[in-house]
Amino acid sequence: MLSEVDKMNHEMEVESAAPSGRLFEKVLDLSENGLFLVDADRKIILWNEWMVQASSVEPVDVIGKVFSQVFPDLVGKRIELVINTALDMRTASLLSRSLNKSIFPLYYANVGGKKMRIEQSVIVKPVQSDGHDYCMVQITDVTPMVQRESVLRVLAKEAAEGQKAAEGVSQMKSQFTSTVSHELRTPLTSIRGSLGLIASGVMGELQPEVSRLIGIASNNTERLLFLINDILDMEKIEAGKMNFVMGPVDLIVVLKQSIEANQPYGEQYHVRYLLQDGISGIIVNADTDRIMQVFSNLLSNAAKFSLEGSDVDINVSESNGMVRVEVKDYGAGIPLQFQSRIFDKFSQADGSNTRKVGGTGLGLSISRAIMEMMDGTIGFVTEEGKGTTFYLDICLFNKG
Amino acid sequence: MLDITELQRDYITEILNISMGRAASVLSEMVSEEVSLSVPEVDFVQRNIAAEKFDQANVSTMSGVTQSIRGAIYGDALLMFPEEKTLSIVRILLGETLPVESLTEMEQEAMCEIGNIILNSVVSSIADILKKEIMSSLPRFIKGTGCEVFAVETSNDDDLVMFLKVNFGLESQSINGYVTLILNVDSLQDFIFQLNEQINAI
Amino acid sequence: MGEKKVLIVDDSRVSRMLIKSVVVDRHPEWGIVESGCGDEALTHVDEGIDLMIIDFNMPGMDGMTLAEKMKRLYPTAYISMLTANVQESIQQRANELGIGFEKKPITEDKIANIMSQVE
Repeated sequence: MLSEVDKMNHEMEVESAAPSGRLFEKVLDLSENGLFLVDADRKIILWNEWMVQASSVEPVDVIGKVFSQVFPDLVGKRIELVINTALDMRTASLLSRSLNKSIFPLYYANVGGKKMRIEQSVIVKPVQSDGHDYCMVQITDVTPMVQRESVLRVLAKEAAEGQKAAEGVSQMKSQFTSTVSHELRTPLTSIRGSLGLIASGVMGELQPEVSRLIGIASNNTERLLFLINDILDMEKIEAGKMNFVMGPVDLIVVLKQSIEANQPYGEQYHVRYLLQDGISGIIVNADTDRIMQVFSNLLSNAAKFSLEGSDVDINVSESNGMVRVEVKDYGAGIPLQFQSRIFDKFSQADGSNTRKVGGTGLGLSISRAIMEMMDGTIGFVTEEGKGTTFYLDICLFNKG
Repeated sequence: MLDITELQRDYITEILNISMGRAASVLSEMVSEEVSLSVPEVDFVQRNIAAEKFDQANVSTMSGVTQSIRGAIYGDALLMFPEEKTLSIVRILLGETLPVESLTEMEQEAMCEIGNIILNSVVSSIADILKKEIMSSLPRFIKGTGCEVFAVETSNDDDLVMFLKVNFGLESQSINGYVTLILNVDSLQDFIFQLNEQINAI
Repeated sequence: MGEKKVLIVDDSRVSRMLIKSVVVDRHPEWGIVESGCGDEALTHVDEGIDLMIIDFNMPGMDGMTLAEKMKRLYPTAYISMLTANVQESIQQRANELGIGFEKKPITEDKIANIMSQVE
């Protein structure tokens, strides 16, 4: 007579002798994906634990039943179509979540206990066994992927909007600057014209004191006009709207022209511009007007910061496909604490110097921007009490 | 290179156009746009020539979907478009614009489904011609140049590529891409034989 | 009854062969004209066509455009569109024009069906 224990042991032995059935079913029930199997008669013959949890439908309620009976709402839909092609033509298919918004009626409970739809991605694969055709349907929960993507979308949209807003602001700033500059320039030009007429004596001879005052007014009007032009230039460069017409430029010819143009300025400071002898025929790749603007800036700075009566030396040398132009003054040099800010906008060595020295404070920042646009560089070497050398590195012109 | 007659080329093209038409109607039903698909050109060439044909027509990388096929024919089936065009196709069919320059995970999945529909259709019509079974794997998203995609360096010189130029027509634009089936020579012999049988039966 | 004339327009020679063989089989006395494209088809305008079988997907002039033109030139002929592309919009357009519509692949039944419209 077998005891209960013996009977149980016997049962367990029988089970373990044929592990396949129970073990594989258990494994299927461990899957993190939904799995069900359909036979050639469209009957469901397997329904794993994931399916039970997600659909709230037990295997006993679906096994042996026809697909269209279990999922009447899915008749005529793509999922039914692909199950049929899997069974009839042994074709494997993928139903992506984006193109198939809600395939099966499956749910999970969120943290708050609310019933939420499971976002699904479905794979349908044909399988044969013992000469029979079956179709496996695998359902993957892609809810996390969908959530990640909607965050991504929001971020991408915000980034795009932010960029648009920034562009809008930049555009407004450009418009503002050009409007304001125009509004400022017009009256200033009138003022300059009137002062010019008076200064010329055409309106009548001037008393010396009056003449002196008119002179001051004139100079300051010029200064303001220069400042407005510089501001406009800076704006254009920053907005990427400055036009550079690059081409072969005879460096020495252009340098000489700049020196000549700045001659009166130099004379004002009792400074001589001396260009190195014996060089010619150097062709660089540059925009003529812009490079002259940079030369002008360096030459006028050199004059301003030189000692009265000294020279400003201009040297040219070549190396490694680049040409270096050096503008050397023998003035006070640039103080250490200022050296790092020298190319910044609106910076000058000393607030008080502004009145004595003039200038807009934008010159070097514009020069640097121009050099960068021409693929060149600008730099300086200075020693307090000895002087400063500003140098420009410009690309040689390469034909082809 | 395989020399096929005008008539053979014509027959294959006709069969492929019909299967493409079916794929197009499946797609049209799934999305908000009307889709049309056609095969204007069919060629049989070696892998390196196929790579050249890809790279010649497009400066940029190609992206798309691949499925491996086995049965009467062993090989790989590919559906490829220039990368920007793959983006256009997916976004137009999903009815969305996204300021992101490459396909997101979900969009790649959608492209896999689109590719799966089209490639399954092509493969099944080849199987019909052969009167034999061909099975495909599930689709995988891939990206690369002609040389990379056709694995010109590493593979069998004898393989031939059935190279189809495909036109993907959407309401707003028409996009050209390629479907290619990389086949071994034996499969091809069989294919041509069956083709002739069927043409002669007309 | 009597002799009818059929115009087959399809860029695929194989398709034309197929359609032709079905027509010849059922009505060997009927006349058949073949065309590989829309422009060529239009040159047969003065030949008294009774039935036109037109493929939609052709290079150059598409089948629908050709069908529209033919409908004006041959109000009495029966026109049927034959196509692999079976979109809603094409079917609808065919209905609006008052022409027949058949989906490829070409089978004997489908051609027979088309022919019955003029028999």
